[in-house]
Amino acid sequence: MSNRGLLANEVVLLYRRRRTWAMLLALGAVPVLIAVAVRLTSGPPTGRGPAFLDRVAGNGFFVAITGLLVCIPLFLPLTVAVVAGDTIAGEAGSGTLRYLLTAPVSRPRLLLVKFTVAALFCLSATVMVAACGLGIGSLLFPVGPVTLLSGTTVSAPAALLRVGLIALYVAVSLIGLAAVGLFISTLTDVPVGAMAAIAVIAVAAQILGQLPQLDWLHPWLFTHHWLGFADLLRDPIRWAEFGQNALLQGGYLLVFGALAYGRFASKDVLS
Amino acid sequence: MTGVPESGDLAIQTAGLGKSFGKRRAVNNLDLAVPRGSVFGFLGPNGSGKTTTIRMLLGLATPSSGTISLLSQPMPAAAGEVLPRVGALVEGPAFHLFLSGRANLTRLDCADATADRSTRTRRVDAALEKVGLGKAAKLPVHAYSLGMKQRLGIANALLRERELLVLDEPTNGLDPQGTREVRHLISALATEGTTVFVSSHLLSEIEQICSHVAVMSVGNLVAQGTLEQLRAQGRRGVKVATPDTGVAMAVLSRLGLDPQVEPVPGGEDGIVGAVLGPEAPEPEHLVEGLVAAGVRVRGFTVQPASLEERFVALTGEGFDLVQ
Amino acid sequence: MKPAVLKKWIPAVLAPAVIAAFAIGASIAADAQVQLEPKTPQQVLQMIVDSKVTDFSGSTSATLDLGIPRLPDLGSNGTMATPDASPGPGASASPDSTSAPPEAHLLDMLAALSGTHEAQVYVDGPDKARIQVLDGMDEQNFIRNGSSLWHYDSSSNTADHIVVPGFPKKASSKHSTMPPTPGAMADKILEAMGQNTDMSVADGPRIADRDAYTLELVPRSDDSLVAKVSIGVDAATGAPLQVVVDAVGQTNPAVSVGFTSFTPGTPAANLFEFTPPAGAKVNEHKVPPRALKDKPGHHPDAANPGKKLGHKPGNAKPGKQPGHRFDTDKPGHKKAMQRPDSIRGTGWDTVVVVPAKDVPKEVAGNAMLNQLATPVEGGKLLHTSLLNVLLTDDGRMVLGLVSLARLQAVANGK
Repeated sequence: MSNRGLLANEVVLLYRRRRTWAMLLALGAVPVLIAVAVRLTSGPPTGRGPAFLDRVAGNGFFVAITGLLVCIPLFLPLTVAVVAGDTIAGEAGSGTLRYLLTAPVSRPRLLLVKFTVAALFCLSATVMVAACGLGIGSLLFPVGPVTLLSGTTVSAPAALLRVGLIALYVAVSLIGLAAVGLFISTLTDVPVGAMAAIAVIAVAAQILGQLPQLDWLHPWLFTHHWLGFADLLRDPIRWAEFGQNALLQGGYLLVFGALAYGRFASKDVLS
Repeated sequence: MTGVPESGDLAIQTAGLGKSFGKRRAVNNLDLAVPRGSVFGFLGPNGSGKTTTIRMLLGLATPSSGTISLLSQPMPAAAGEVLPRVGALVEGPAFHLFLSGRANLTRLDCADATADRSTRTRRVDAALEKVGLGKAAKLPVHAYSLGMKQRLGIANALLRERELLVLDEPTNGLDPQGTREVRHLISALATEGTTVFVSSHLLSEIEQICSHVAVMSVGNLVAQGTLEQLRAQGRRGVKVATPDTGVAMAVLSRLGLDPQVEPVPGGEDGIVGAVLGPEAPEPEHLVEGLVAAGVRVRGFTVQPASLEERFVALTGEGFDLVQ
Repeated sequence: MKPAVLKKWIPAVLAPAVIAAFAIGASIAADAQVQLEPKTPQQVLQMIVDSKVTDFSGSTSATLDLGIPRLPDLGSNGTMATPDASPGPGASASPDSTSAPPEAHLLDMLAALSGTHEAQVYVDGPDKARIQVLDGMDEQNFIRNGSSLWHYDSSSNTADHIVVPGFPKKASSKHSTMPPTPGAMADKILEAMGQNTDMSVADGPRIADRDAYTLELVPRSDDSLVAKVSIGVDAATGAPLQVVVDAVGQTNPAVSVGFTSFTPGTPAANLFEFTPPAGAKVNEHKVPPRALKDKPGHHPDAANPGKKLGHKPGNAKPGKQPGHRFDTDKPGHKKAMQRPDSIRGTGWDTVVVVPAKDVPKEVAGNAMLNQLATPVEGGKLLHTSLLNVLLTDDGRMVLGLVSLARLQAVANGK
């Protein structure tokens, strides 16, 4: 309960930053660009480009799904890196950290609040992509019942629910990265350095995930399930991937949350 | 040093407090005793370990050795209980520049889980008013001058009723007018019973308001006590105005002093000055000796001990203080 | 102060430790040797045969590691051929790629198949089944409901519909493209055994979170490339849950097909009802054209005597139906049945000789195959860890799950 005031304040702070909105708008522009490009070129490309792209023209729902698919490898991790890298390092860099701590905020509480805000951003970012995709999709293309990968057709409301689930899946997928970012952010007083490091880690994890020689490592990479949301477009929904993803991200949260606590609680705040 | 009050009466007490950064010892074996209700000047040149000490007092840095008791509770263990009763300004103000002064204060008040939400707006406005930022409250902080930011930092320390204020260089960046206002503010707060622990590298800034002083030099506490105690340790000086400077020098030397001729431009008389050590003869004996030796004493002044002099004596002078 | 600082790091040490403990614990639990009532191989086989599980659903995973390099996709995407452990190698193409005989695609398909593939399987009795082959962002669906067969490919948004009168006597060729179920694989191996196999039963690790017997088959042959075949059998129901084929000289299993989760019980009925989605291209096939045109004289029962529905008691066996379809179109079998004289040897040592006139030009002249083949005495060898194919200098193709020496011996007329 005592976290409420600070949390609410931090959330307001996040959304009052111009940077946050710049990132969210950039993310929202991705599905818009996709939709406009498909609209202008008329005639769905076959077999090229990201999956689902050829379905966009037929159903606006797929703008949102394609948008999320396109944003997962780089755009979403980049924005999460900026927010997560800023959590502690940003406060330390601007010197406000010492005033928060002498206010006082206990350090675990500050970490918790900061992580919650980062996690909220993960959700906002994916919801932004999905919402912009749905919006532009419904403007430019017909919207109606959606054919799932299994060939089953679901009604528009049910499809909306699926898109929501996918957004949630992607948001959950980013939790691990946010936790890693929180830890890295406690290591430095230079937020830009933390952000860059987190972005590099996100890309590196995906590269490692591509190397067949390291397939023993793959299930342990936080990027392992990033593209697994296709299972939410099957009938029946395969929850296994969702569960494994959540478990993996939870594991990352636990480990890197604990590391962040260890580092931050024992750190001398000298900035 | 002397007159250390009972520990219950101490707002801040440290024992053997030390802090090392790698091999460098920033603070060494510090035994601070800050009585409640005092205005405690924490003096020392830049780099003498003042800010590091303050960071340890506030739980921002972990001591390498020693213990801290803040308002009779151990730090950093009891930080959550103690710090709400402590207002702090550490190493200059720091705020989110795109937020207004009020929003910044509100944020910091939110951070204090024990602060009363219902009175938040009123307290924030009162604090802003107190430091003269009432009109600038809605401006984003990036539009503030350095002095305004400094005041905002002080306002943050005043968000609640505090038992102890820890102000690190509160007059930094302030114009003389602002400096004066801060001094008035501190005096007023002290009158209300708040203990004020104020650090400065300039003795003159706080000499007028402090009841107690501690002096840091290169990580060590070199003096601590009331202003009078410190001043008493200082040495008086005498100045003799006479044309017979040579004889005067000889007489004073014979009396165990270390006289020096101070050049006086364009005058017939010279000035011979000497510092009175603890074992020096009383001034009347000096005059007696001078007169007896035929020195034409045209003027004789005894200068009271100056804190400034004491400060300089303790910390050294110029830029070579810090290793 | 130092202990206080160290204390802050305790969670950071504990968290990975706890996770590692859980991970190790889970893998120990999964690998735990279960104490089951001892059974002889015959009893385990009987369990399989007697198995009454007609309704189930589960996830399967198939891993193929034939020790061949990955090749670039040669355009046979959408083709989900199956790994094949039976003597009678081959893989079938989907109906779209009828232009090239299956053999031409053999290597690139095997290469494309290497790795792990996952599928959901739903079976409700002998005449309702659905397999969802999960293929990244796409999915292939094979749905059988009585005499109606559907195939839906999400990547091309096309559906094929076949109504087979008198089904299930006859299987559709196209469904050979679905991955094998454990039941089918077990059957294939049992049928190949005969007198030349050492059988034993081990209390294996749990499979799909269920207690299981592991039936181990070791070829009694010096020439076979198959080192061991392990069949995991559900201790409770007798349903085959897993088939693992180890190749000689390879650490990882060459083929591993098994359930990762297995739930006996009737799946929801609507899973077997398929309506092609609006906008999908639907190909109606009243009678499977290839089945008739391509296979004169070919009858599933004849091709797979051991798999005849009436052959075993309790024929409504889990995994049997999809397996059945999968089994039918085996070129090796086909040729074997058409030209019995081209088969040399028995059991594990069986070698198929394709006369030069029957070797498709695509094989003989395929640059890719030529590149992969290594010159050996008497011809060129295409080698995988389970299957050797010898293209002799006189144009014949000699293949089998056997060593090169045996192929050469057969080619030389022994």
